[in-house]
Amino acid sequence: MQSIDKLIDILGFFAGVLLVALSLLVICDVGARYFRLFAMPWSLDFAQYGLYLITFFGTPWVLKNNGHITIDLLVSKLSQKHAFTLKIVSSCLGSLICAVLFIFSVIVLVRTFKDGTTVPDNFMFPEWWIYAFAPSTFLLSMIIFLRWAFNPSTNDDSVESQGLF
Amino acid sequence: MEWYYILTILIGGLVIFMLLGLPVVFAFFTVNIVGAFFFMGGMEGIIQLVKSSVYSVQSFTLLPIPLFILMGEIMFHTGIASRAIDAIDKLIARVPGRLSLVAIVGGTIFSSLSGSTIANTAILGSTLLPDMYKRGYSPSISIGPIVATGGIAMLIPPSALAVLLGSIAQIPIGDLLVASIIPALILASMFFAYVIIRCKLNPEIAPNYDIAELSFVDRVLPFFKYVLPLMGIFVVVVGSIIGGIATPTESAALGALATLVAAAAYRKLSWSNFTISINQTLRFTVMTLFIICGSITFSQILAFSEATAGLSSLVVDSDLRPIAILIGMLLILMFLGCFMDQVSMMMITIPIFMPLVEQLGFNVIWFGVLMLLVLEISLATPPFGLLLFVVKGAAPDDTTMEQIIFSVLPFIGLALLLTILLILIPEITLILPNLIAR
Repeated sequence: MQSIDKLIDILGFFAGVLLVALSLLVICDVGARYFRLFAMPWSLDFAQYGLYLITFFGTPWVLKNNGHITIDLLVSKLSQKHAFTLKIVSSCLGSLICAVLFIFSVIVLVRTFKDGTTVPDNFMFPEWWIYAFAPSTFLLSMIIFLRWAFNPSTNDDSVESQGLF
Repeated sequence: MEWYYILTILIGGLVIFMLLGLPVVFAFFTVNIVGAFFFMGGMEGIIQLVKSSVYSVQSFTLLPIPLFILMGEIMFHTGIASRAIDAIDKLIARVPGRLSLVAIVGGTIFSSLSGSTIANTAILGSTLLPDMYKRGYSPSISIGPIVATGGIAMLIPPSALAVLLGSIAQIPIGDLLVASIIPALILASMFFAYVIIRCKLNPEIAPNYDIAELSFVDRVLPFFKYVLPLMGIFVVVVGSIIGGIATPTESAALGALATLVAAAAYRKLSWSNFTISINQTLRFTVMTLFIICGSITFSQILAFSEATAGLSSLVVDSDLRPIAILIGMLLILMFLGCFMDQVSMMMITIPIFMPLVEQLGFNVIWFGVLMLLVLEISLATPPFGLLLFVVKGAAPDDTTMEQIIFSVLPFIGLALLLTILLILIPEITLILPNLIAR
C-alpha cells in the first residue's frame, strides 16, 4: 500500500509541476506575442492537454487527501456507528463506479489503439495517447475507495491535506 | 418512459448518491453510467461517456481557473493581502462600525485581486475577527460583513467560478467577467451603508475605541505602499479585457505574473509560500475540473432522453410570464445552494436552464450575472453555506453557528435586494460589456 501511496503522490507532484509549467507557458506566450519576439503556435494545444493531465494525474491525490467535495448533510446527522456504516457503503459504491470506469477506459484505449487514428492538431500524435492516462486514474481511485471500505478509519475528513512539495 | 419520470430519476438519484456521502463527482459518474447505458445505447453509451469525460477538460477557456486561484493563494500565503488590509485599517478613521467597514473595503479590494472566495473570507476572518471581538463588537456586525464580503470574490474579476460558468454555459467569458463588476460594487456599497446605519442606530454593537494617533503621512502612506500597487493587478486583468488587448486566459496569465512580481517586489515570495500556494491551487483546480469530467455527460443524457426538450416545452408553453420563470430558476438555485456546492449546482442546472434562457430570449450575460449573484448568496445560506464554515474556522472558539447564521441574514437580504434591482434594470449589468463591444 505504501508504494501505491507513493505512486499517487508522484502523479500529484507531476500535476503540480504541470500546473506551474502551464502558467509559465501562457505567460511566455502572451509576452512573446505582445513584444513580437517569437511565435508559439503549439501553446494552445499544450495548454489543453496540460489541463487534462493535471486533472487526471491529480485526481487520486486529491481523493486520497479527502479533497473532493462531499455533502455530509446526512452523515453528520447520524450516530457514529451509522455514519461509519454509511462510509463503508459509499466507499464500496465508489470503488464499483471506478471499476466500471476503469474497464471502459481500457476498452476505449484498446479501441483507439487498434483504430490507429491521429489527433489533428499541431502535435499530430496517435489518439490512444490521450486515453492512456484515464485507466490509471480510475484504478488508483478504486484502490483508495477499497481501502476506505475495508479500513474506514483511513477516510478521516479531519485529516489535513498533505502537501506535495 | 415519460421525460418527467426520467428527470426525476436522474436528479433524484444524484441527490441520493450525494447524501450517501459519495464525493459529488462520483455521484455524477454513477448517475451518468446508468443514464448512458439506458438512454445512449447501452455499452456504447458508457464508452461515449468515458470519451466525453476525457475531452471535457481539454479546453483553453478553462485555463483562467487555476491562474485566478493561484493569484489569490499567492496573495494569501505571502501575507500581501493581510498587509493591504492593515493599510486600509489605518486609512479609515473614527466612523461607526469602523472594523466592519475595514472588512468590507478590504474584502472588496482583495476580491479584485483573488479568484477565491474561501481565501478572501479566511483572510478577513483571521485578520480582523480577533480584533473585532477584542474591541467588543457583537457577532451580528463582525461576522456578517466578513462572510458577505468574502463572497464578493465570486463576482469581481478575477473570478474562477465566473470563468467556469461562462465556459459551461457558453457565455462570453470576458463579457461575463466585466459585467459583474458594477453589481459587485453596488453590493459592497449597500453593505457599507447598512453597517453605518446599523451602528448609528445601535452603537453598542460596535463600541467606539481609541485608535492610535497617526500623522497624515503615517495614515496614508501604507495605502500608497501596500494597496495602490496591488490595484495595478486589477487594472492589468480587467483593463486588458475591456481594452480588447487580451483574452480572459491571457489576462489571467498577466494577472498571475503581476501577482508574483508584486510578491517578489515586497520580498515576501519564498519557496515555502510558493509551494503552499501551488498545492492549494492544484487541489481546487483538480477538484473543479474533475467535476466537469464527471458531469459533462449529464447534459447529454438529459438531451438524449428528451428531458431537456420536455421541460423546455412545458415551461415555454405554460401561461407563465418570462419573469416568473426567471424567478423560479433563481429560487431553484437558491434552494440547491442550501445543500450543495456551487460547481455541482452549475453542472445540474445549466443544461436545464440555458435552453430555457435561449427560448425566452433573455440576455445570456445578464442571466449569467444573476446566476453568479445567487451562487454568491448561496455561499452564505444556512445550513451548509461554505463560507459559514470557513468563518467558523477563523472565529474564536465560543462563536456558535447560530450567531454566524443570524449575523449573515441581513446581508443575504441586501444581496436579494440587489438581485431584484438587476432583474428590474438589466442595463446595470450591460454597461461594461457594451464598452467592450465598442
